Amino acid sequence: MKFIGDRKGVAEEFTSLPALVIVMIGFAIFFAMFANVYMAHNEKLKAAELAEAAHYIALKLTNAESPLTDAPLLINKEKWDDVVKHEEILRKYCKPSSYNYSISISSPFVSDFKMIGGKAKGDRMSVSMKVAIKLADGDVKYGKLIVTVWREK
Amino acid sequence: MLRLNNNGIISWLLSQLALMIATAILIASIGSLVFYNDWQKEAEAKRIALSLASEIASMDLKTFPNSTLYWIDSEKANIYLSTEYVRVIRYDGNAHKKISVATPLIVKPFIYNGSVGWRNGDDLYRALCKKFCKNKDSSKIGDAEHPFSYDKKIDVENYIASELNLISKELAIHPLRIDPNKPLYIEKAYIYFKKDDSTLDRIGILIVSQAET
Repeated sequence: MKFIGDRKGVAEEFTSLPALVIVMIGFAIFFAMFANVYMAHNEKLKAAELAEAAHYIALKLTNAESPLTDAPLLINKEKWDDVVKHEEILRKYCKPSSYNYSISISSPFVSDFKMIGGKAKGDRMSVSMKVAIKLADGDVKYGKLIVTVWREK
Repeated sequence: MLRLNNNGIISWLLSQLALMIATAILIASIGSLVFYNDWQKEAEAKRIALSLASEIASMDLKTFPNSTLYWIDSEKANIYLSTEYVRVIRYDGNAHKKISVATPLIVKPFIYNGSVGWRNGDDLYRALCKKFCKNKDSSKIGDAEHPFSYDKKIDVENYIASELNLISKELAIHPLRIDPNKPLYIEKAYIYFKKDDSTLDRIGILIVSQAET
């Protein structure tokens, strides 16, 4: 083991190897961080696309022309039940290309709103919008319309 | 054998060489991210596509007839529009020359490409008149002043659906290339139907065309 016994050689090894290790660790950390940021950026873009589609659908379904409403943001329970039976009315009114959606109502006052639309598949995004719910003439409660959107494969 | 030499010079050399190579790769990687910024160009293309898709969707939400001119704020990119997608392509990438980004449109617009579709609402009403008017003196039908009778609604809806189908197929093969020097014209038009009780029913049509000026 002459090398070990060579003081110069040992000294050189002990200075360069730790430096090499540090550089390699920096290299690995840098790429791990970059990959992470890039993936997060892509995920955020996908989420932003879905959120925009969900927001569009929520606005479309709560405007005055919607088959669910009597006036902007006023959902009529009777119309909702009609649409549950004849979903094609809703699909004809709001059929976003490349996306599918389901809608439901969440309210502490009303529990018998059936969900409209199929079960979400894959990545999805939900948005909610505060709405008024007309149960009968003069009987209006508040609640939230929840729109869940996913990409059609 | 390397470790058995007298002064460890080869071992030292290899370590130093490895250190230099690793450092060079690290610096080159950082440099390439700073100077060869394809990902920034891709993000910019994505922003252009999202912005246009968003503008079209927001026009569709209007509950009254409305129109707007939309300027594309990039001359470096080629922008193609079909009824399903906005595609932005640029050819100034470093790693790969072609950078292509496609964003789905939330709503299917009627896009005028010069041969199919309508340039604007008035164009639509004239096309409807050519198809449905019995009185040849009329030039327009379907606007608020000249509504259809309500019993025509299904015929008109079928006509509109077949036109959209035609436009979709045409643009799927040859998407509209948007000229960045001219604005894009986006209009929400309505076709009106008069019911027996004289009230009006309507269907919304979203029209996108390249403006002339």
